[in-house]
Amino acid sequence: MTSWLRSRTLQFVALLALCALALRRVEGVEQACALLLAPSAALASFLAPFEFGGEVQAADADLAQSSRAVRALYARQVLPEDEQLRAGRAFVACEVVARVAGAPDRVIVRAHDHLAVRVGDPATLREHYLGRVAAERDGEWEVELATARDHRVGAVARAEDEVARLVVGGLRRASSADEGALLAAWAVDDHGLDGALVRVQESAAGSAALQGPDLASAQRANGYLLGRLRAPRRGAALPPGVRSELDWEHGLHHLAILVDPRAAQVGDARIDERDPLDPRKWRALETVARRASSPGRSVSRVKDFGQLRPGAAVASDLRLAGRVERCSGGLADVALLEDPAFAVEALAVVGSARVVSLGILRGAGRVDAGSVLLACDASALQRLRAALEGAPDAAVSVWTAGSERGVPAALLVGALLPQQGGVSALRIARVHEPASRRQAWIGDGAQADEVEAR
Amino acid sequence: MKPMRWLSIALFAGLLGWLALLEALARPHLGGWTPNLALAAALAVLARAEERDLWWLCVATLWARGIVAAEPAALVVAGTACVLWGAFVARGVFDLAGHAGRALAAALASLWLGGLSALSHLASEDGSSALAAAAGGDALRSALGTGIFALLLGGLLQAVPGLGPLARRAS
Repeated sequence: MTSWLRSRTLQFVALLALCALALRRVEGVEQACALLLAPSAALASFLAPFEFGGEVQAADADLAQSSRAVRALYARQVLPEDEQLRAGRAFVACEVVARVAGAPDRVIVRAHDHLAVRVGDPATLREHYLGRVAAERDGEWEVELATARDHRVGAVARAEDEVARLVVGGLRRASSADEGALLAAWAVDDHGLDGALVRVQESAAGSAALQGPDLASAQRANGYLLGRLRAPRRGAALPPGVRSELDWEHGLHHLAILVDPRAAQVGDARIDERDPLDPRKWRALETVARRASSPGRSVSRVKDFGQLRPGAAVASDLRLAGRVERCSGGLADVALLEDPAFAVEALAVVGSARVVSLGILRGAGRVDAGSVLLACDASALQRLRAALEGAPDAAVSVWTAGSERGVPAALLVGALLPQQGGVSALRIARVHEPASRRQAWIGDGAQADEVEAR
Repeated sequence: MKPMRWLSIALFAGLLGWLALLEALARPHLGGWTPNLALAAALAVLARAEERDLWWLCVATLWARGIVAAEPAALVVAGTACVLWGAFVARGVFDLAGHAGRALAAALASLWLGGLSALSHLASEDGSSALAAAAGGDALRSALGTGIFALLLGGLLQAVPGLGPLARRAS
């Protein structure tokens, strides 16, 4: 051994440097250290005869039926209740699978009827206008939302007998903190319609603003709601805005595309490729450590067989158990539901027919052996309370929304349990499942590489 | 190196691996109080190991921690290397093989690893203070549990059959 290697001072400096690089998460150092720890996976396999990975388990029949019903409910709830908005139109239900990396105003969707969709077709959610199809890529469609900076859609604002034409698109800066983000309204020809309902109204005269999309496609969205017109505060150098009821950031999980009725029912259901009931989309996991040693965390360690991707759902019999957080050196860490790093987009099904978007749920610890806490936004709690006002005794079950790579729709997160006092997180019942029955979602294949930590 | 010494190192690696897995089994029941078994055992054996075996024992300790430490690999390596280096330095000054020495060393080592983990959460881009706070709380509990474990069972770990050739350093 050379003398400089024995120098305590040099060793100390080298260790300090290593700690600094580890805290800064330098990619090269991380990879080198993962290589150094690679034998750990082999050592664990050799020493751990406790857990065995088995075949992918078939879903429990009742749960499979519930999951199927929830998926059908998701698809139905994108349609408008207003008959006028349905008349003469053909809808293709779609599942949002991700946001475009670096472009949050574009979502990637999979369609029930892939071949019926065309670029330029409008996208809607119930009676709301969302945007239009901008591109196709790898069997999926990219939808540009109305919040995109360059998006423009012709509209009309009506209040009693008064009517004003305008163009809506992009986001308008809020004039006060409590106003929130609004859609920007351009070329409003009457500023005296504060509070008027704004609906899409594409016409031949105003179609020049579209610059491209076919007018017939665009006009299919006529009558769909954009929001209410909001005049800026006096003295504010801002254009009028349109307040939308939609949660553009976390409330878009499923949507409908208004397609040409002649092209509908062509087939090729790409959305079914993310069916959680398809056993080929799952891979059985072999647990190395039920609870990994990491202070403050609830992480399970499993073997990585090369198909796991960060963000992939880990479930046991269609019950969500966690998500893959990191894969390295032949091992992968699964953040369990109660783990502070766990997050998933979820929906609540109230009773059997009402769906409420919960946005992102985050692990907030364990209450007891049978329940965990999942934190959500105050607005989500408000939506849930509003839904429960009409049916206070209705059972509430929480399911994955499916609007993220690696997580299919309609995996059961758990049943909502009652809580006392001021509630800031949802208490969810967790059914104990043996770790040996866990399986990971591999249905998104290489596309899961696009998973972005939000 | 003699075959017996190699066998001892292999047994040491196996013992640490099993203790790491035992720790993982105990964690759902003990939560934050779960002692860092593999680390306590490694320090107990390293306190009496000869200088020439140290590199191999360090590698075995790293691999054992790699089984259950759910942190980025660089953090596992850096944290463990610091602990072992600290133990090498400290054993020249204190008696780490004795009751008080091994309990204190194990508790401090566990606290250091937990603290580093909490610091890494704070230093990460998303800067999760909730994670850091949870990690900090657990680090204290785990340090206490590890210290007690080392105090009560450290002597037994030093006397595990097959590890004799590794414990020949004069105290």
